[in-house]
Amino acid sequence: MQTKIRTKKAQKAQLKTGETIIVLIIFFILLAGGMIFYAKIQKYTTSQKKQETAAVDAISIEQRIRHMTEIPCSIDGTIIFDCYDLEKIKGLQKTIPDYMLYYNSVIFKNSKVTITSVYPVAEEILLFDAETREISTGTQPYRTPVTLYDPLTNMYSFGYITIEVFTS
Amino acid sequence: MKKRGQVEIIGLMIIVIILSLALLFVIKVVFTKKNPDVSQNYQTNTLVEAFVNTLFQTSSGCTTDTTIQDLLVDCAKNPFSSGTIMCSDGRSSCQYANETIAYILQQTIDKWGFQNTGYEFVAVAPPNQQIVYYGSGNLSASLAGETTPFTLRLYPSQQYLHVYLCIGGCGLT
Repeated sequence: MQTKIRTKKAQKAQLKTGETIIVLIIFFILLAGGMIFYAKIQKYTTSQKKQETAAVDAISIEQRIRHMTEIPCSIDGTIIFDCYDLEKIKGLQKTIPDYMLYYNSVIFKNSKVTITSVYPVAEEILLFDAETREISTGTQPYRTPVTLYDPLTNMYSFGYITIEVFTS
Repeated sequence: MKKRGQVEIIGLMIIVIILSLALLFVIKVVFTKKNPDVSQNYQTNTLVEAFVNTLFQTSSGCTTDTTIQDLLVDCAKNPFSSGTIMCSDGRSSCQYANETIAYILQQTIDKWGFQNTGYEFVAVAPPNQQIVYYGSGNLSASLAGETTPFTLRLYPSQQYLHVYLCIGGCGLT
């Protein structure tokens, strides 16, 4: 009689243990799912933040280019706002490699800056291209219209500056 | 015993429903949250001003010494005779300005992804005569944030030429 009761108790205990194990398994599955979901959300928000930071960086680079003393158009010493001298740009292109550290770390940072003339002359000038670009991912390019003055022909062209900031 | 089991199932269902609602809330908040795109707003705001100012300064190519602003002013002064300036290729100032502005817009704003919002470029000469018009994309007029015109004085008269570049449409018509 006592053996029968013992066997019954043991069976009940086994059932309880099995139940506990199943509950634990379900709990850990839910926990793992939650962790994966959280990680995905974090990844998404991080990439969004990166894009935003790159966009703000592009704006600050554009502001720095706008206030560079090397390239603006000037008539009798008076600077014309939002106008860049094509000959000065070509001169700056040649100067940049000699002062790469300065231009790379202070002015252009991790970016690619292109100046495009649309009308009346179609032309594209690559002003700066970051060295670390190969290991980076690009973001939405930032563009702003500018006047490009050619002192050789005394012609003002419609152009724009494209700034692409790269994030690693 | 049977009743207790039913209560447990109802309890489990309530937990599952609460968890599902929480999950849906998190998904809605994280993935559908519209962040104010600082760069896009800045670009749109500065684009209009920079574009029109640059356009006015640009050499037209009509003659050696005329800018697009000169062509627009000439066209606005004589809208019914298509302007007095005759370009080197035989086109009038109005026709030249229209075609050149359309070309510049196609090569720039059209390529920069403003097709979804759409935009309009309009130059209105007195007395309310549209001398230049170019529209592109889906014009909704709902995003017409920049409807303040750029003005050019038509010397020696007291009248002005109004130039509009509206992202989303000007809603002038």
